[in-house]
Parts: sequence; structure tokens; C-alpha cells
Amino acid sequence: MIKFNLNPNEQIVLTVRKHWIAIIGQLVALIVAMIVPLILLLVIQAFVPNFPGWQAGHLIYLYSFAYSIWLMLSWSLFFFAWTEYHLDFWVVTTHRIFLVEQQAMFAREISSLTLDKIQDLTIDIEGFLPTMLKFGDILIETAGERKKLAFINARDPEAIKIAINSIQKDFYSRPVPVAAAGSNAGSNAGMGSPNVAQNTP
Amino acid sequence: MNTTEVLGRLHDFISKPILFVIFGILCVAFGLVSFILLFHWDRYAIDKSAIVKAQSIFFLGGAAILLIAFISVILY
Repeated sequence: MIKFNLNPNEQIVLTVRKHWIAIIGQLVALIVAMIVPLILLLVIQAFVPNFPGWQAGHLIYLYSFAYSIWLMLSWSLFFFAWTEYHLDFWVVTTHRIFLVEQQAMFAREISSLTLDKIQDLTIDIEGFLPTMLKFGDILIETAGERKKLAFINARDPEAIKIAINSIQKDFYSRPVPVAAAGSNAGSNAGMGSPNVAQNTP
Repeated sequence: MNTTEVLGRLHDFISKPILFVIFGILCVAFGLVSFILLFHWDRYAIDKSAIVKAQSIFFLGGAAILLIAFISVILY
């Protein structure tokens, strides 16, 4: 299992995952791929009952063998798609967000963003289905190199936005060690707080 | 030779040993796909319960497909 290099006082608060709607297209494609050859077989048997080879039996077994190869291909492709779907997530901790993006098999990007780098967090829920099924996009504007980060088709983005805002509020109100506070530490040093400084937005 | 005769004599062209070889390739391909998926699930997943369910479904489905292929070759 994946392990994140967390600071001693850092805790995982929530995980942002994709909604099942993001994989439904592949699931439907799998079901269609399973059913279509069977329908084709029924059609052949219904319209061409004297199709050569059926009586002898060998063609029907050749057909079922070819069908099993087709099934294996569809089955494998679906699970590749599911893996890409399932391994795409964000992990929100008390200090930062880890962005794990499974772009393809053997193509993966993991980055992290400290909560103070978040300038704006927007959610985008558009349409009947996203509203009813509670999914949408989460967009983060940052002060870092990557200006915009997006998580498409996230589960319950409203709840996630509220949760991240709350975690951010806690983060800013929490005293941090002077060494970790950087330049803020210097400005607070003369104000009677030698060991701690405040996170500032 | 017309289409009917060709289809009727397909058994002569695609023999059982050829199907067994293809079945072997299918088994190897399934093994390779399983290895790739298990590698990703084991290394990058964060929730064990979903992965255990996915593994069960994947291997049960894969075994069923291989069984269909094997029975087809035997009966061919």
C-alpha cells in the first residue's frame, strides 16, 4: 500500500475520490462487449439454421473459443480502466494535499500542496445528473508553479470544499514551530512569542 | 470450393493443437495482465478492502473465461 511521508504531527483527514460515474462508461462498454457476440450467435442460429459447421459442432466451439478471447481482452481493459480510476485520488492532511494522478499504467504523478498555497477553491457541479448524484469538479488555484489543479468528477465536492475550508481554518489558527514558520518567525520574534508563530493565509 | 465447403472443412485448417497453443498464449497473457494489475494495486492503493474485492472479482471472472476457452478447445 502507498505510504505518504507525513510530518510527526501531521494526520490524514480525508481522501477525495472519483465518483462511480467516471467508470460507468467503461462498465457499459464491458457489458455491451459481453452481450453483442451472444446476440450475434442467436441471430446467426435464427436466420441461418443450416449454417455449415453448426451441425458438426466444431464451428460453435470455435465461436465460443473466439468469444472467450474477446471476453478476456474486454475484461482486462476494463480492469486497467478501473485501476486508473481507483488510483486517482487526493489525500488531504492537516498540513497539505497530496495529489495522486494515475495517468495510465506505469504513468503516475504525485505532488503535494501545502494548505497555505491554496488561493481559491472552487467546485463546479453542472447539470441534472451531477446535482442528483452529488459529483462534480474541484478546482484549486494556487500560489505555486502549477497555477490550477483540478479533480474531475469528484464524489460529493460540496462536502469536500467545506471540509478543506475547515482544515485550512484550523491550519491557519494553529501555532507552528519558529523553524518551520520561515519569515513569519522573524516578524513575530520581537512580539513576545519566541517559540511559536502563526500560520498566515 | 464454395463458402459452405470451406466452413464445413474449417476443422481441417484450424486444428485442436493450434487452439491449444492459442489457449496457452491466452493463459500467459492473463498472467501478465494479473501481474501488472497486482503490482499497481499492491504498491499504489490506499484502501485494502476495495482492492481485495477487485482482486476476487478479477480472478473469478478471469478463471471463468479461461474455463470457457478450455472447454471449447476440448469439445472442438
